Amino acid sequence: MTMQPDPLTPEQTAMIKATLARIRGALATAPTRPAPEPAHLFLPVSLFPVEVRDAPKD
Amino acid sequence: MLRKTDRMVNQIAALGRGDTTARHLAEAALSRAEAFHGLNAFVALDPEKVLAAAEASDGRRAARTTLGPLDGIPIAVKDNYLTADYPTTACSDALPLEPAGVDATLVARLRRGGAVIFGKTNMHEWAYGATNTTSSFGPTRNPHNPRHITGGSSGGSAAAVSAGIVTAALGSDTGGSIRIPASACGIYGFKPTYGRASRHGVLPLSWSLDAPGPLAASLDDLAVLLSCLLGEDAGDAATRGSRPFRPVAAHSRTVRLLHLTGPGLERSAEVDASVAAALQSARGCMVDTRELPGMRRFFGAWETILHCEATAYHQPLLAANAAGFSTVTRAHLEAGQYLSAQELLRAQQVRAEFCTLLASGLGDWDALVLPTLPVPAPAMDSDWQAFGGRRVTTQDSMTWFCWPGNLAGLPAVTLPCGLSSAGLPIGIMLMGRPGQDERLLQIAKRFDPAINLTE
Repeated sequence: MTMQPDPLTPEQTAMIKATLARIRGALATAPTRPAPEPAHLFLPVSLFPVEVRDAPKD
Repeated sequence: MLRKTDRMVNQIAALGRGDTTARHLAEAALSRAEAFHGLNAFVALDPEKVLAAAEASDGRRAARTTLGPLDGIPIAVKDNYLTADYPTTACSDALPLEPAGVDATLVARLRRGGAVIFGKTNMHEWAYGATNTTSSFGPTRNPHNPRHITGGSSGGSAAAVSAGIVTAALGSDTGGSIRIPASACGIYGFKPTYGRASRHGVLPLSWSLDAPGPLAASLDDLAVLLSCLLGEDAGDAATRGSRPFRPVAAHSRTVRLLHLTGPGLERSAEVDASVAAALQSARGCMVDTRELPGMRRFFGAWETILHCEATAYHQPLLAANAAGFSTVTRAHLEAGQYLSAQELLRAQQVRAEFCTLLASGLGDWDALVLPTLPVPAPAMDSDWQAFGGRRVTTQDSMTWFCWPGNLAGLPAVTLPCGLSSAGLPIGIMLMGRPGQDERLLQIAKRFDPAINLTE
């Protein structure tokens, strides 16, 4: 049997709406041009050990 | 609260001279924990475990086989670090009260150094807030005035140090959770550069923002702790290539400080005055004031990343046991479910923009300076704070200056810089260049002789 999630209270619903409105309003403000690449896209490469990352390519 | 003698480096020296024993330090800490029980700083503390670890330390000292400077020093641990011998609950009803059976890497490093793990400290539920008023164990109270909050989320750790129960404790920092309570309680806190301290075994709030680190009774104490804690750990890929912490010697070169101001960085008049006085009295510093633009946008990026990553981690538990979360924490997690992949990527773009601005858009700087908090520790029952023409929630006032350090992964330290008219501590925060944690601590020492709340 699938459990039904507890319903959100009106207070929680209002908090969620306020949070989303705040975030979306902030991110919609003018970006720099040119917009940079997303920061985290650099992370996966750095996760490999240096000897793997810098190994000679075939 | 804190007495000048209550510093870890003094305890280390006394142990080395044979003027005290680990058992005596442990007994004194247990006695003080009992005396300050009303602060609600601890959520688990077993005197038998503490005394057994202290006696083992005394045995090593007698046999001349001590494990390092921390051997015999009682150190408290925030309740989101896994510990082999205590339950780890993140102060949430959503987790069972059972010991994990394993230690987080930083706890293991403390034990290998001979430290006496001195219980688990109260925290804001899941570290998802900065007041320490939301906890399954009840709120933590500020040692300087128990009608005021400690700030959070490492509020129990800060209260334990501020009350002189222990001289050091572990915390974690996603938007200021080490620095905020350290400042509100009049002690010292250090958030390392992202990736220099292992997150392995620390229950996550937001993987790319989280930074574990120490709170302590002095800058010298922080240096000893960081020397034990930082460095590469196979359990945390973000630490790959991370160097151990090696304190650097003082030098006489003038350092350049940028005191940041502008919309979104307002503060109360008495906080501003305390920080200005601290900057005037710092030795060998050239101070420029600089407006940091775009704070609303950068804050939006931090908040987006925070909610998306927290929801991704908690989603299974939220689906299985939503009632186990407090009202506010559940609302945060539910909000994260409505944010799209595009919005997360946009936030990461803005994050890159912010890092570029700090790295090359502000000219040359050695440390960025801000108050740690815009107001002294708020009263327990106050939901709003007014300062500098702003009116914001108490929660937002706590992270007001701290989240930039997490968004950019910078090392940051808070130190006391004065007392408010109501006798509550005011802190100043310095943020360093990434990876230059040692240098940041050295710069902070240029302030410290002029600032002392511990007399």
